[in-house]
Amino acid sequence: MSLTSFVKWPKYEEYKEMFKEHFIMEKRDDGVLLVRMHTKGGPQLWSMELHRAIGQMWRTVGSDSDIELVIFTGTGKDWIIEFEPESWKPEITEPEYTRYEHMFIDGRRMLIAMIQDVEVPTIGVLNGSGGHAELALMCDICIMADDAIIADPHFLYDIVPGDGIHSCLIELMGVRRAAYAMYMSEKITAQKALEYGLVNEVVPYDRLIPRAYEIANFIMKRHRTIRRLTSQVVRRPWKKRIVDDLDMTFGTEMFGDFCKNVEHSNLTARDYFTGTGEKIYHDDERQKMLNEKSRKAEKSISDK
Amino acid sequence: MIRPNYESDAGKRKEIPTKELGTVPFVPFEEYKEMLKHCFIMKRENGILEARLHTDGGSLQWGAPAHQGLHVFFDLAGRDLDNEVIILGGTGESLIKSMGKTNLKKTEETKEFASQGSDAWRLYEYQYLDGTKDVEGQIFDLQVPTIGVWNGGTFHTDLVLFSDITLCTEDAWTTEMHFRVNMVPGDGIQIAWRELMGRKRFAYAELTGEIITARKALALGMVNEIVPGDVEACYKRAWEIAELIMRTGSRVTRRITVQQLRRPWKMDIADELRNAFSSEMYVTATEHSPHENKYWDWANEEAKLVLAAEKKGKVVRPRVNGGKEEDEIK
Repeated sequence: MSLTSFVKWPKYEEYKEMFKEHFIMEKRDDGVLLVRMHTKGGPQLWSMELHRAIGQMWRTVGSDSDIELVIFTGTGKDWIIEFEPESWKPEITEPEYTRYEHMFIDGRRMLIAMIQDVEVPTIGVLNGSGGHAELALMCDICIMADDAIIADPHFLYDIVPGDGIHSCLIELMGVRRAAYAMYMSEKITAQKALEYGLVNEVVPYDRLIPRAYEIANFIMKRHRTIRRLTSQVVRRPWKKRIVDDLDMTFGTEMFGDFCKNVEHSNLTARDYFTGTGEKIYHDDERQKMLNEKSRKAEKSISDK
Repeated sequence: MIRPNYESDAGKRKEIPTKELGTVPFVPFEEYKEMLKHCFIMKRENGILEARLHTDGGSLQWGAPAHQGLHVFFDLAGRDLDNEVIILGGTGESLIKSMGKTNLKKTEETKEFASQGSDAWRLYEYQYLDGTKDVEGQIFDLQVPTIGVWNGGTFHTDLVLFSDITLCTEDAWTTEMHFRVNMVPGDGIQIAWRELMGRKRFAYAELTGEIITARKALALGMVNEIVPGDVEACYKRAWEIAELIMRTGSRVTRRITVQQLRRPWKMDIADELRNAFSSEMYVTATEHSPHENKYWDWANEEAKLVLAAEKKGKVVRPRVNGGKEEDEIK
């Protein structure tokens, strides 16, 4: 007998409970795990809590050797389309602290964990419209609802696109299309996403999860070790990409936020994605005040 | 004995007159020499341009004037087709004396480097913009061989380390100031140091604020020669090397050769400079990064001890409240 014992990893039942506020998890006996983001059972709101939980989830699930394949999706017809303003208040009250501890750390970790800490194939299912599509696009395989629209609206809000979606667009669409998508906040329909090589298949909304399971079943027919090793072959470009342009580009986004006085979390993208209105800020008054402040700062250059 | 292959071809450049061709002439030397006289003392002979950084005729005091003046210099001198070799260095006792501008009464603060709260916009205008353009200008805009003259103490060693050849005086020394003033090293200096001394040594130097003396810089491959004597002796040697280069390779060979030599710098700069600089700026906006002269004064005190120890074959290891001489570990 050894003098010491192995430390137990958290098991499915435990972490399913741990993460239940953010994800509904369903594990099949063969190790195929469905992870569905939600907020109070409905479509997920973009909160600091979910933002952190995504990285924690990938790390934890990645450590469970009973999991053989992960399907990652969201609830309803939304992807990441709405910030939860109450949750992100610390960005306004304590920007220095929040932009590092919550934005820089968690924002990078959620992608790094998905790419570095998971040994099994992943399938992203874009069930609805919104930003932060890299959460699904960086999965090994990605399918998308036929009525969903994705975009990277950072630039539209005076924010540098540097938190991961830029890596994803440049890697998958190519420099030319990615430049346009970032500058123009291009709304990319499912059909266009397929044409650009962002996703593998366009599927009617109702068929998304069944189709994801079909793909999972096909992959699960192969030998366990072969599946796992193949996922590492498939993922190598993402590992390089993340090392190449995630950390320091994230710094560029944060630098821009301080120069321009823009609050990432004061955004609402629903009107933009659904094309129903012009509203892009939760709190127009606050944004007006910030714009005024940064205009003054810029003006003072010419004053000198 | 090296025998010159050629007579210097300075001034023998062929061209179709710009008037005849309808092209824009470059800004002539006399014009940019005058325009940049607040931060450079320049002279040119036989196609060799010497540019000495200075403040009021003495050692340079760092601030927006030189920070901006440098990339204007790289731009204009780089376009001037009559320049064949460029020597860039300092004036007097040190390459950089301090921050701001000191007169007999007081040191003026460098308000351009303020970074907190509503001053955050200055980070882009006076640090990021000038800083990225300085590094890119030195490597991308200059087409001819460059020789750096590193005289005495300095920070911002990128100014001499990004030259193709670097000479220094016996009393030259530096220390990496970024981490010392609570900043992230991202403005290009990390490229120069890491690539020249190696990543392990750079990590140590950055995190401990190790004083790098002329002898250490030579041992680590950061400089090519230590020139005995004062700054004038160093410039004299730079001119000698410049003339050697002029007589060894012809115009196009010299120019294309340095592009080849500079390729690794270009790769590194394209790869990491902009985003690393931004990350440095981001952290400067959130953390207090004192751009204060007392930090440089402390480094000066430490350097004196290290240089004195070195003469006796001893070392002074970086420690909090250190400064004690110790034996070298064999």
